[in-house]
Amino acid sequence: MNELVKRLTEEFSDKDYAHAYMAEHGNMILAAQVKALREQRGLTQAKLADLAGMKQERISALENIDYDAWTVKTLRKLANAFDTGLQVSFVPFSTAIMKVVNVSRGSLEVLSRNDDLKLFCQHKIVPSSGAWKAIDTSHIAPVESIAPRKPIHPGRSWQRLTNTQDIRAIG
Amino acid sequence: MTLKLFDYCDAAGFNDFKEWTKGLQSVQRGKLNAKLDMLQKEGQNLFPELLTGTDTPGILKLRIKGNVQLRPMLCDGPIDVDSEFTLLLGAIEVGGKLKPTNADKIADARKSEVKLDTAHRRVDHERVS
Repeated sequence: MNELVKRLTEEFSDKDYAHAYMAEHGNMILAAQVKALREQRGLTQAKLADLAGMKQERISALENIDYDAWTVKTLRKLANAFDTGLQVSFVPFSTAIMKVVNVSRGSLEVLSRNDDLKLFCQHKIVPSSGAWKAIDTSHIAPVESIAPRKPIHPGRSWQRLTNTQDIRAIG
Repeated sequence: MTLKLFDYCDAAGFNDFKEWTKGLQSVQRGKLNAKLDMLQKEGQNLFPELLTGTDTPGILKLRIKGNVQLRPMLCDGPIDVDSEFTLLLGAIEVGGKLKPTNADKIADARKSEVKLDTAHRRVDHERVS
């Protein structure tokens, strides 16, 4: 287990500690994500402020990791300016821990609506464990099915199916 | 990218920063560790304002808001400035002033001690939960 995951799992048995940690982390991530999304789109603070209907000074404040007065209204304005969705939801602490350990520049960047939907069109929507799952099929090549040329023995796990050297797993 | 964190030790090998952290309330420790974890994981690339300067060149501080404004003092390096930070002193800010008032100066003196005797004047950061 990742060392930080292990530590946080133990430390989060203290409710006050857990909530304080995640509140601080959340503030930092929001500020960093605003900056990351702005830079991803090649926007200046002034341009983003224009798109979001705010002042440049306000964008500067929002990009400060010590900013701690976030409102859903402000986040909606920014989502509109970045042309992304906004998801505010309650999550288990285990999910929050995994978010902490997986923070990276890449994890903060989000495609804008048009680019995202263009890529999403290449996904296949399949049922999975009672829910729908989107699978990226852009990198999957069509394969020919293998027809066994010999009888299959149910009791053996590995069998040669064709006359070639290919060996496939059964069951 | 994972950076290395160290704690300053006095001549007797006492970890002063760890002791300071032990005296904090769990809410303060939670906030402190959240920032230290991100400092260690991502450095200042993802969070450019994570560390701010002090009146003393080479001495940085973390800013942790709360009922008590924590201002732990640290430096990059001082041996490998690209891959490590050394936590030098626990401090707070009251009414816009550091407490102890010469926290950055004390931290600078400690930084020099670490430079002179790296093997004995710092240890791997000892996290207090």
